[in-house]
Order: sequence, then C-alpha cells, then structure tokens
Amino acid sequence: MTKKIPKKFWTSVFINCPFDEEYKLLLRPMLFTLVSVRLLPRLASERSDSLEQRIEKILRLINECKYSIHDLSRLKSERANEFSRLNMPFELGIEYGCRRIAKNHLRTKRSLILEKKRYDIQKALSDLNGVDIKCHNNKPTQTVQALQHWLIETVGLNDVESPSVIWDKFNEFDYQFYERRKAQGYSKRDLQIMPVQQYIRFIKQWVASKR
Amino acid sequence: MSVKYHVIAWLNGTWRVRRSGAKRATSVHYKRTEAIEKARKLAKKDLTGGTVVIHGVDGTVKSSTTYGKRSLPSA
Repeated sequence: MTKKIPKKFWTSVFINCPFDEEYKLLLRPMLFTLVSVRLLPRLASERSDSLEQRIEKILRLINECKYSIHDLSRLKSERANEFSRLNMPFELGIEYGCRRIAKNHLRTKRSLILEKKRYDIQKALSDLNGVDIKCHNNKPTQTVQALQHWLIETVGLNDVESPSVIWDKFNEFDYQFYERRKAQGYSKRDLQIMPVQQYIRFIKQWVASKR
Repeated sequence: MSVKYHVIAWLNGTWRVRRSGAKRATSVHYKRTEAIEKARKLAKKDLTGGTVVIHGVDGTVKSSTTYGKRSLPSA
C-alpha cells in the first residue's frame, strides 16, 4: 500500500539558512514573500524540542517539503579566525541526495540556491558548477527579486506580484506589525528576537486581512 | 487618523516617499536624508497631522514620528 502524501507537502518550503541576527534582514522579507503567495515556510528553528536531534529535524523537514531554499552566502569567512558555516551546504547535500535517490513524490522536489556574490559558490563548492544559482548581494531587496523570479520560473506560479509591489507591501506590513505589537506591550528587542513561527503567524494574519 | 508618509529603500538603490495606501511614490531621491526631509515637509503641511515612518534598507521600521494637527487661522 502506498503511503498517502500529506497535502501540506505541495506547498511547503524548507528554508536552509543561517539563524543569526544579521541574517534576519534577509529572512523576514523572504518569509513575507513566500506567505504572500500562499506557500508555507518551514525552518529548523520552528520547533525547539530539546530531546529532538537537530539532524532528525532536518531530515523530517526535507521529507515534508516539496520546495527548498538554500542560502550558501556564509561559505566564506569575513574575518580572521572565523569559521565558514558548513551546515547549509551539508543540508543542501542531503536535499540533493534525497531528490536523486527517491523513487516517489520526493523526485518532484524543486530548489533555489542563493549566494552572496556571483561565482562565490563555484570557488568553494565546484561540484555545483553548472547549477543555476541566484545571488542577493546580502540585500533584502535583491533577495525578494531572486525569490520572485524563482517563484515564476521554477515553482510555476503565474499570479506573483512584481518585486516592487512585494517589497512595498512588506514595508507596509512591517509598519503595522511594529505599531500593533508596540500597542500590545512588545519592546523593539522583543520584536527582534520573536520566534519565527510567531512572526509567520503575524504575516499570515496580515496577508489574509488584505485579501 | 493621521496620514502616513513612508520613507522606503527602493530596489534600485533610491529612496522613495510614499503616502500610505498610494500606489505610486510621491517623490524619489538618491539620498535617504533628502527623502526624510521631504516626508517631514509633507507631514508638517498636512492639515490633519502627518506621521513620518522611516524604514531601513531591510524594510523594517526604524522610527515613526507624528507631527501635530495644524490649527486653522480663525476667520
């Protein structure tokens, strides 16, 4: 008997990215863009069960998401004695293996690889030569652009708004998010460190109110 | 409710002033400071009082200032 594919699989997007404060600048517009086209962002940080092994969590996410976004922009260390981050390429490797070896619905998986500067990945990870990679130059606006193009080219969505409109709406959302949370007693710091699941819930509410 | 003028970093590197709800930008500037100045002028000019909302390059709100309602000169 074949196992039933969960409905959520077809709209889920696994985001494989750094989780530091600095990356939130790119992550938040990315989450907004995905939610605004009715996709469901999934991240390793969405749940923090202390007894769950991180790698098990990643495997489950890869298994449950048709789409994935891999940001390899931290491959290069910026300062002396700084280690480059290897979690993202490792998880991309699992995703690639899963897609190639699977004989079921996992073969239909689709991915987006992001880098900071063009050709950076080729220098660090030459196995990926010939693969289509988009770069964001560490800029939130360019992240939205890259993502919007991928949603049209690869996900196959026809009704995606232009990057300018998405960016404009994100700015509007952020203002209302900031004002409403402030009225509820949240400090600026609370908003910065807010759990990603809560942030996604607020985006969903806002997007639903605008439809 | 006061009118809001958003100062937004644009995709091509420029800064725009956009009134809340408007589809098009009120003005486009090469410098952030110029855009803030323009937004302030517009907010102060507004009879119902205006709010200037300054966004950062990441789209998040950096500050929000409301300028008081202007009282009309008595006839």
